[in-house]
Amino acid sequence: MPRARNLREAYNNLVVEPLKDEEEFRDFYVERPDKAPSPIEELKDRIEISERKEKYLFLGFRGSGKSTELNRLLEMIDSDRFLVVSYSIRDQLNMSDFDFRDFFVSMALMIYDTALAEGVKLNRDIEEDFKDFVKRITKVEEEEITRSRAAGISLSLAKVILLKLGREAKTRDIVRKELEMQISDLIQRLNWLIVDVEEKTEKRVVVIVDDLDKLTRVEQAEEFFYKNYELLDQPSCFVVYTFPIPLAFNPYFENVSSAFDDAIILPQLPVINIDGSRNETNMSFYREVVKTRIEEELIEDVVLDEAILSTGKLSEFVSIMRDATIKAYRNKREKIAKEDVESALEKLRRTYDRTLTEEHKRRALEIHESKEARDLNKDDDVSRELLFSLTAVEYEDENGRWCDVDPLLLPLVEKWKRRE
Amino acid sequence: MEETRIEDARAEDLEEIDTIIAELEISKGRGNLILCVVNAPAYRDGIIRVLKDRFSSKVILVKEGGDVIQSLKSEDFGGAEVLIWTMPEKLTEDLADALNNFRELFYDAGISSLVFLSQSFLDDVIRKAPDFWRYRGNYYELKGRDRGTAFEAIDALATSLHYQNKEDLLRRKRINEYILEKVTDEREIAKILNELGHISYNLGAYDNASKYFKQELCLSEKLGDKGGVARPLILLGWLALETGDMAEAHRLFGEGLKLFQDMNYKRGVSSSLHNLGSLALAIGDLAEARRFFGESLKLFQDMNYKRGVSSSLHNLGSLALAAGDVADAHRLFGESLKIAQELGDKSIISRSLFHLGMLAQDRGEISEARRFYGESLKIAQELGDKSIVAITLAQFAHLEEGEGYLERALDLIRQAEALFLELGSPRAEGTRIDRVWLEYKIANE
Repeated sequence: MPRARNLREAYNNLVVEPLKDEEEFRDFYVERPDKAPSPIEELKDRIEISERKEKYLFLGFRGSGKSTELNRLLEMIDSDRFLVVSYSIRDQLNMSDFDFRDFFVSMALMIYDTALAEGVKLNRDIEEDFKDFVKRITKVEEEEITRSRAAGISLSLAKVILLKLGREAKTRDIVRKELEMQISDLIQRLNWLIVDVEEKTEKRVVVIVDDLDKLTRVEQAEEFFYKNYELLDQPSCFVVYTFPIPLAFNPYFENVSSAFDDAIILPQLPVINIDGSRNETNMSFYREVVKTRIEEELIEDVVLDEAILSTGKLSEFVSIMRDATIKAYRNKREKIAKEDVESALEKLRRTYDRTLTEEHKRRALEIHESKEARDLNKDDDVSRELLFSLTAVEYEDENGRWCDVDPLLLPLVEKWKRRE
Repeated sequence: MEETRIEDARAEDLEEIDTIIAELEISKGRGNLILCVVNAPAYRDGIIRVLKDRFSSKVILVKEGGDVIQSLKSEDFGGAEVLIWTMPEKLTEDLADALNNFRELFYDAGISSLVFLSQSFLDDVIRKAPDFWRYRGNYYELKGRDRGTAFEAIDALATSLHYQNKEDLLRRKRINEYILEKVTDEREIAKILNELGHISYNLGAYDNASKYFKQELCLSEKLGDKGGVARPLILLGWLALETGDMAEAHRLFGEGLKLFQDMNYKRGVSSSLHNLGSLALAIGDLAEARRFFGESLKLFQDMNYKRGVSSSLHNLGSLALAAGDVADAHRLFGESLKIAQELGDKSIISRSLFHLGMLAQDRGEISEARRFYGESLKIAQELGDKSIVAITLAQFAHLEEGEGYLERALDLIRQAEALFLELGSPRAEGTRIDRVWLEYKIANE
């Protein structure tokens, strides 16, 4: 993918989507600074040397590059020794109506489907038993699949069930009722599949589940990770679960995280230090992210720096740059101008401002002053809401962990302070 | 039919009935109050028919206290030599007061009264109408037809095994055997051994089940896994109970319970209590069984563990049946069945249907009983659950014998006997005697 030489190409190169294939990684991936390296290399090593089938939580703020890092993991793991089943629950399930039972069904089906795609000849009893079981708990009949084939839609059993599970509330209700007392039966079948796949492929299974951190409601995430965390340890393979970082601010996190082999954090790189000075190392990283994608003459450093200082979050930064690019293109400019960036920032800032309640604003001010985001008691979740919406961000550097409001909102903070 | 009804009776009941007849003979023309405990209404009615043949009798169906007082005060007994009273299923306060306060009227009547009541009614009488109880003459407890399996309890295993039919179970057996060869993690191996034990148990292969549970026990002890030790202890206890070794069952359940209590593992504790209840029921200690089932039911309800709740309700139903509280038994089996149907737990469904069949048979509703037994048998055969198949076949045989279909009964009892022998069940001997009796009857027809 060549570096963009004009605004049209720049617009297309500044995509917010995670990097996926080899070409994208080669052309666009930027190594994180030495002081805050990506933890993915270490995770890869752990998986490759561990004899136990470990379970990991992978934490990072939304838009910090988690999916890209997970895709790197997928690329890096030795494919001769490991069979990686990587999927996003956003693609497979309904994010606004999510349940741990749907999740385990999806995991089993994804492993089964991957095994079939790899041409694995499963033990007949295990395969028949698995198919009978999933048909029974979903009430999907063989005729349904045959009919769809006759209509020219060639979908596997796993695909049909995943489709129905993601899009049909009735199927979800059936599955949840059926599994109310039989979740251990499902996990047992999942584990039989894993044993057989590992036996036949002579590879160890690694499941990477992305986008669990994007569950629509905090309660769903808490229900999944805090009430059912013991089940998450049950699959007999390596599993990497993406974890919503705001939940880590719940006091219960310490109890739960110990049930996993490690909680791996993809650090958010601050562009403004805790003392208010600029963090030049991290600024360079963000600059590089844009400069691998567009030619330098398309933007002046001072303009680029303003975008970086006002966002400080990878996806938000790329998104602002893309927005500014289209504005510049429409204004028939040759390069991205300061006003294009400012306009894009102001639009986003206004959006944030509109969604915040007075209580949120007061708490945001406190976070800005104290550099800490804590709820007052267990019933108070204002700080967690701010973290969940990325209005507040946690950083990790040589000063340890500290929080601040989103740099984008700093101009608003001044306004709120004056009003106080 | 009355001949048949009495032929249905156990030998010891026949002796007791003879004694009742003798007592009624010698007390003719005098007030006397004889109590007779019979749980099954159909069995009771058979006895009444026989007595009516021997004595001029008046049968009084009691519903409330007023029925007793008015009947006795009227002194109009239509020339009867014996007053036969049938009490309702429950002792109400009003009836208890009538029996307590007007007990003299039974003697003042100048003729003998034979009062039929159930075991649970009698228990209530002792507690709530003690004056009436002390005022009685002789009293008899008739056991009724040899139910053999009437008090069949079901287990509440530490882990439950859901399966659709025998083929499904056999497939799971093959899968587990296959997986056992592949895995190296000892905790996983212990889990697989446990499931193989369950499968063998459900298939009636008790020796194999015992072998797997003992292997799991050894491995768990080696791993220092308390839960892994307690689980097979309970299951081995259940096997001991099935094969009639009550002392061993008691020891194993007790050890399992203690380990679960040490671990504060509630489901294990409740399952152990449940199984101790089943043991108490099997040895006829109804009070202890009631206590254990009550405690386990509460724990299961607190945990919202529906299979446990369904099992406990079922066993409380068996307990009510053992105590002669037919109405309560019917209610409890019905409630258990409803939950089991919601869960799709065919094992409990099959057992509940069996017991509902027994209750229908006791009420004399033969076609209804046949339907329940048929449904229960069908499910048990689908599941390959030899134990419940054998139990249902044996009970079905009693029903057919009662209806005079001796050849059919013999065929059924032979199948039951073969299965009980295969299972090493203590019921095999009783079934053998039933079979010999049927062969004898057919030969002399």
